[in-house]
Amino acid sequence: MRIPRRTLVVGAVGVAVALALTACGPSNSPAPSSSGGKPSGTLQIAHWDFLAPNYGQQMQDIIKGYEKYNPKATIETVGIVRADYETKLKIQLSAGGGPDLFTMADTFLPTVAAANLLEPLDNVLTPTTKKALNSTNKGGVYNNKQVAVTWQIAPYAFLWNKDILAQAGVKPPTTFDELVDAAVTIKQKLGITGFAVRSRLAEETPWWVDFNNWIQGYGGSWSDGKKLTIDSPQNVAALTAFKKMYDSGAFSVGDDASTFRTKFSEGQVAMMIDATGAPPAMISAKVPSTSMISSPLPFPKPYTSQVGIYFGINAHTKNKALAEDFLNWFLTKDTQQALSENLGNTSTLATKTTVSDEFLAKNPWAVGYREDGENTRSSVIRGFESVTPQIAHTVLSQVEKVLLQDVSPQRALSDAASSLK
Amino acid sequence: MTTAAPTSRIRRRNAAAAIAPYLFVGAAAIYLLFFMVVPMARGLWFSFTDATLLNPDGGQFVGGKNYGDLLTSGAFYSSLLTTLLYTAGTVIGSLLFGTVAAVALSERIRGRAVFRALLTIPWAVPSVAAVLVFIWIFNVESGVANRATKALGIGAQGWLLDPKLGLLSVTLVSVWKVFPFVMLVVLAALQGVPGELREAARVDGADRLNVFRTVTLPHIVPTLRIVALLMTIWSIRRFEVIYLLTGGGPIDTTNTIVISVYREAFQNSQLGQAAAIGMLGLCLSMVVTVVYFLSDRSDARKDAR
Repeated sequence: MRIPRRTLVVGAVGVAVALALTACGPSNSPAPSSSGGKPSGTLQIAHWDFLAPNYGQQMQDIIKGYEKYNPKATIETVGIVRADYETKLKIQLSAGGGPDLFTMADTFLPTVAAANLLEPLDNVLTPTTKKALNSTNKGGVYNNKQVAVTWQIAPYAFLWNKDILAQAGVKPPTTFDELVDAAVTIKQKLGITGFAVRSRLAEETPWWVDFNNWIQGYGGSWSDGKKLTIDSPQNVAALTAFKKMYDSGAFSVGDDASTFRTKFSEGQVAMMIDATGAPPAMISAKVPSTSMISSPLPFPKPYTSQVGIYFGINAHTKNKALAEDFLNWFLTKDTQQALSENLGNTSTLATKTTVSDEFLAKNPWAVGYREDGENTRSSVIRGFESVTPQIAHTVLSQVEKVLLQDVSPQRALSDAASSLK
Repeated sequence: MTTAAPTSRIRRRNAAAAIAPYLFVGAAAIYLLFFMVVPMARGLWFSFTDATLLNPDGGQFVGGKNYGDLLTSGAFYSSLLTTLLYTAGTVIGSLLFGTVAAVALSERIRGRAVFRALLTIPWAVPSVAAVLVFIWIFNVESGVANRATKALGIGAQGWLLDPKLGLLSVTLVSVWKVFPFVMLVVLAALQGVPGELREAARVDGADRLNVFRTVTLPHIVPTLRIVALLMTIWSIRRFEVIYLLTGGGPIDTTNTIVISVYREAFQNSQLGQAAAIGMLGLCLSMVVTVVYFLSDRSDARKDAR
């Protein structure tokens, strides 16, 4: 059958319109042009801590304080749950999108930087800002370029509920054996969980950082800078201790961090090793700030892991001038001090901050964290920075076998070392 | 002049009638082209490259390396076996419970509407909410499941932690979630079973089981067959229940093909390798579909004789 030309033309136009509509996805609108002095537009800023109980909302308010400094700007905070953070960012960044500025764990930074997804900052920061930066900002250098600044270096500490320990009649442990004994006694006398840390592969990224406490505490490391030292005697000793605690009957078996922190805030967990972000989020009517005490880890060496969080500008941003202006504002003394207080005054930020004696008196748990601040070690593997996540997966898969299948620590770490060769 | 106008209108109407089917089919074809064929073709291309998630367009062509690596890796076969076991467990469990529930609820019992509504809830509840409830049920320290096992003298179990129980727990939750779908479809099919045939069988002395076996079952078999196909394909593709419950653990015992694709693509950032796993998973779904249609055709031929 012959189809009239006019009908064909109408049909073709219809199909073309449909194709055009289908092909046009959402796109980032370019930044409105700046007018007179400060740049204008909307900035999206992502961080998992925006969702943190107790202090997340206040943190968002501090970040939105930029709108007062620059009334032409609008700040949109993007909270993504910790467990999905890297995955979601990877998907967004690979599609050429993502937030204008975002935080990233020190373990994730090399991956992002290697893909050229971070805007170099060497010509972005003002001389005054550069002068104020402390040494932790070296962690934001990749291939001799500053690609990120420190958001927060959070130390770990041994944290306990003093009321529960007093009720069970146990002294705060200072060695590993005392820790196991105290946890078991609490479980037997009070029926509540004695000790909690992460132990599930479902929380792979934060578990890797947590587990580094045991490695550092036993004087171990994952590399000597040139070759991996996965199955070193110190690492095997650390894993052996972890397994002993896990099997003690007083450990929070199967609980993820969200669950055991909730239990701690309900007075159902007595002791834990956690980063400085945890205590402010766990303060509750049942467990007030004054009931939480912290101290150095009960391990042979004084070193701890750290949650290293860095902050950078997305190389895909359409609001570069605004993002740069925001970053310089973020690094001003007042913003840094406000953020430090929001984070519990126990973390190291990009610049120097102060803490009052009054705050320490009201929040005794902050003392131990501040002491540990000088002894923190990153969980990024020296010399293997950009492949740390892959090495972490291999090692933690073997650690899981030790915990769940009773494979010996020596064999598990040897297997991990062999497969990584 | 007076006859030209109607002739022109008739021509236009005929032309419109001729083009209409193409426009209707064309809209669906364009949709499928952009949202199915293009992504699938891109996935197929990725499977022959070493593309990474953060640089998807920067991958180099590596030939069949990704497929070679998979087919020589024990992890892939383990994942395939897990997928088959999970699928078999979920399909058999949901068909069994769904059919039993449907037959029971097709009887005239008091409160039938309430029971039907209650048993439909698992299907209606969002998966994420349901899984979060089950995570608490399976909690080692304070979960209801372990309180029950302790009361029975079995002691606490690591439902989601013990490598021997992980797959069983995930399958149980999946069956709970999907059996109402089977129940609803079978209930609808049962409405088509002639009542007089069942009555005649009863008059001939058949008990309930025999009535079901000889009268009801043959009538609902075609429905069960199509439901089994759907359940099989959905089980092969199921992600959220498994991932939220175990993330593929403990020790990879619930690491199905779909979970492998997710881990490889989004956790290890190996897009090429993930695409290869996805393509092999697609082949598995296609094999199931082809087997179904071949068996259906064979049965149709037998019936025709």
